[in-house]
Amino acid sequence: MSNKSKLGEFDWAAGLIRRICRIAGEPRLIDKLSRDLGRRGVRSAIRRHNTSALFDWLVETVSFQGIGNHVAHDYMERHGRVQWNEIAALIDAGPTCPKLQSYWHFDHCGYQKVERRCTEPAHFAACPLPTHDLRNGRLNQAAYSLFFFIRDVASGDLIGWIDRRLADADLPSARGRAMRLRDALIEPLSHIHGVSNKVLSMALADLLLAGDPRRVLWTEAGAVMIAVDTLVHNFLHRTGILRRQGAEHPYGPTCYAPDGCGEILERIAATIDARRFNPAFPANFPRFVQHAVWRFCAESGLDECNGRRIDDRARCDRRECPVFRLCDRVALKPEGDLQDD
Amino acid sequence: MTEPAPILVVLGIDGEGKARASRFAERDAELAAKASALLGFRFVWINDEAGCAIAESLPQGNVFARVNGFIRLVRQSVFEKLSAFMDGGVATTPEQRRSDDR
Repeated sequence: MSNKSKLGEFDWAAGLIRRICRIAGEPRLIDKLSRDLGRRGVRSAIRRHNTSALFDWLVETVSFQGIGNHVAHDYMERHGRVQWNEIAALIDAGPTCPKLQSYWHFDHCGYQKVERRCTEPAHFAACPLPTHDLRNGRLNQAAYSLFFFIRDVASGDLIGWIDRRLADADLPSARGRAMRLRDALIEPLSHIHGVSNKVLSMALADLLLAGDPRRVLWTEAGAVMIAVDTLVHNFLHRTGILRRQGAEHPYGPTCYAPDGCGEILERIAATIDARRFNPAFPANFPRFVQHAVWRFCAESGLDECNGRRIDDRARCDRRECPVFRLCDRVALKPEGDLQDD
Repeated sequence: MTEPAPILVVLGIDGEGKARASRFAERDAELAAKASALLGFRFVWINDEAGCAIAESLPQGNVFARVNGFIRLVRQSVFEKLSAFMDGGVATTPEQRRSDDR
């Protein structure tokens, strides 16, 4: 593809996403997040550097990965949530498993809930992980890995750690400043076992954007954190944006790789001045753009572009869709072998 | 002739008897020291020219990664050369390094 036609394809994609922002962009995004975090005690936890309250919120947010929100929520309502104080007490009791000594030891734990097994079978009977009735063993591992990260890497103060990481990455004149701020947090936290990039970006974006407006670096970093879920990925596929950008890929880690969904959305977001939607927004606001795409698609949003509305074996025929004429309407799974959303 | 900048190295033998070593950035010294102490690896500042030449060839470690990602596998010959420098009186802690600098 020539550079000229590549540019034309990009302009088309940017135009389509701009239209989505006009239809589904949420001008009160930060206000809504602020209210939600306030209601759940996260804003006061930030002010007081209350690590246990933040952990409890984070680990609950992580529990929403891999399944519908209502299913995850119902499960937690029925079976309870894991809390910092519970894990701290169990670790203080000195479990025998060698993997439960520190963040750096907690590797390849392999706990599987249904099979009741792990990679240290001699210590399984006395292991504290199975004492928490979470939806699957991966979530138990994620909770312990996050606990160890905060205790050992962040020295028990997650807020102080975030402040320090952002201050160290803050070089005002350098290019790609916001991305560097984001990466200063995402890269270390991405090593926590069992926490997907999507969930990490989503939780951190909310925390940083709306946790404390006086922390300017937080807002800057949160604005560029993009969460690519199947809805967002499938939208980019169905509309033909991935195909026209020569970036077709299956949903998964590739969405965050170079030329993946995240990078494409970032490039498009750079052409959209979010201040037109709310003057208080930063001009470059990829999270707002990604949220608009998600809201356009989601059943709990505008419910326009998802697997329940579209028969993905063929091109979409929903003429009532507000972007029907702009969209390439690429069949998501013509051979019935791709992921659902 | 200027002395080379000291290089922070963590090295040791893992639970499977394999040689591991990595270099770390100075800003990661505190966490590298903590992790290496917990995992039973050795934490050293290499500050002579010949030692730095070997240390520079080591893979970069990652203080946020666990076990295998924290320090990497290296060839036994490289490990032995590095060990020789340590036994030859290389400072083993930042405090020692600082006192050596005075």
